Amino acid sequence: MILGKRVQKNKIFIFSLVIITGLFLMALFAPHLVSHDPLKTETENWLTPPGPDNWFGTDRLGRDIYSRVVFGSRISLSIGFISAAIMIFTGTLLGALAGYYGGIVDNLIMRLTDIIIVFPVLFLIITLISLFDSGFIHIILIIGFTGWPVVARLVRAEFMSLRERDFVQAIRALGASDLRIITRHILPNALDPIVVAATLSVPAAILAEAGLSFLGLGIPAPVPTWGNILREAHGYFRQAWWYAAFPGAFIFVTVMAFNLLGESLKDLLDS
Amino acid sequence: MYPFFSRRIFHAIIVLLGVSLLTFVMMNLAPGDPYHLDPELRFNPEAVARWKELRQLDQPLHVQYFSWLKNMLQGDFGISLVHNKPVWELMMERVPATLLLTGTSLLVSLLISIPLGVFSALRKGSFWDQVISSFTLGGVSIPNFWLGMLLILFFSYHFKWLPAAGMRTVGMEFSLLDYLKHLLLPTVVLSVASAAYFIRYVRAGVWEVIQQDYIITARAKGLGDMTILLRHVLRNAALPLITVISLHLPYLFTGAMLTEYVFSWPGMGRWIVSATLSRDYPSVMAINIMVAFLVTLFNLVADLLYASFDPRIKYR
Repeated sequence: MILGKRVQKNKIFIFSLVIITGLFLMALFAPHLVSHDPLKTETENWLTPPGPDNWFGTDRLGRDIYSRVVFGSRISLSIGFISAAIMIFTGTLLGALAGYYGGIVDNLIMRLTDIIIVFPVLFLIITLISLFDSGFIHIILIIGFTGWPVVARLVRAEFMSLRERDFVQAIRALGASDLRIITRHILPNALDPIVVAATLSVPAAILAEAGLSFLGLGIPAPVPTWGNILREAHGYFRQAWWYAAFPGAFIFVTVMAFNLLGESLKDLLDS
Repeated sequence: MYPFFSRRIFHAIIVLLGVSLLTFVMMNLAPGDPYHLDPELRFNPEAVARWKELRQLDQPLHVQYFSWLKNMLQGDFGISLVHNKPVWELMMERVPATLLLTGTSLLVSLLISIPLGVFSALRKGSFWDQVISSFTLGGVSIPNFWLGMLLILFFSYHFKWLPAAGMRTVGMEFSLLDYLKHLLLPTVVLSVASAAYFIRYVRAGVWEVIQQDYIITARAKGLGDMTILLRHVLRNAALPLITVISLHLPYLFTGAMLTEYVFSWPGMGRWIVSATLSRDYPSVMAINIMVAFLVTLFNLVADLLYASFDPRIKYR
């Protein structure tokens, strides 16, 4: 009830939620929203500026950029969500184990975390992509399984401080199993920062996909994603500003909306 | 102090070995071979065997790894399988450009973020604080390669003020101004995200410090605002910032890679992509270990600085 009131008062929270819902609906109803087939080329109309026919202009093959951007939201959002889910799951699991058990378990997990952290993420991802190929599922798994260390550190810190608290000692004295203590007693108390981290993992994953696709290592053409439209635009944006402007603006707004949501959630849960 | 530090060095060595082993295993598990692009080798198994033998790629994997490790420790990173040149030479052609870009950007972002972060914290909730907060939100949200493209569009293409690509004008004699002109846009692009990120930490750090009792005491003693700020606030707020910078470093390198790509900056950015795709094992190993080494070294320095500024660390 009190949280409900605070939510109503927090305009930023509502604002970002509205944008995100809008983006979701766009991805969901993409086939009904587009004016052209995103894959259909009309080479005689290449690089047409925005106009009534092509709202965001056309690309180097005469494809409608608006339709491609709308369809691109499907890839960006699904990668954002599924990868973030993997990051949160892996990070929470490993962070919980390290923080709860300490000692050798903690040491092993933390060294693994360090190794992944000193690798600049994109370098690690590029090395991994050479191992698999760059299909949709692979990109999701790779981004998900390289992004968890930040979450793991956070969860570990929470667990380390919670496991010393009286209520945990009391439950342990009652003979509860480790699994029960972790899942029923410590985890619910550590949930707030995990929720915030989850919200902030989505934009990180979206940016990672965009960066990879921009370098030509992400989802392969002709499937439109915001990142690979920008990659194609890189060779043409001097003549055709709209080629790069619109897909980039969508990445920017989406990432910003999720960052705002995360920040306002932090405020809501803190106070 | 000594045991604390030697444990940190021990951890750093384990991490570096882990990075090299991980890279090695992943590269070798990857399908495809470096010679597969060479049409002369591709259909000639004898030539392939000879080619592998010459580069000791016919040895068992663990032998390859240990001989790589031994040579690397002696400063020999092997010969690039694609360029047929020592990896060290390739690295020396590219690493300085990347370091110039990342170093300048780090410096610029600190020069921007410390004053803005302090100002924001001292005037928390004011109009300018909100302006700065909006900038930090935008800065962490904007894809830097897109920002780079927009800046090129405006400053290079539309206004023709600044060059759009490379590190210097080809064929021109050395001129500092020319270098600076080329450096300006990529530095802006790379600094935006870091500055935004640092401002948040400086603001939060300073805000926490100014609420401490010793600041009230200092004010009660009659110290001037500037003295309090420099002697008490900044000194205490600076410590966490060292850690924040060292944790941010991998992101800086990642950002540099994309920035280099947009501006055709002659650094490691494009090299890592092409070396990985062409399975140039020695180059990929060298790049990964080099970056990991730089990051780890900086982390160690950060720990050392932290420990020497904060006496409580030593007893942990």
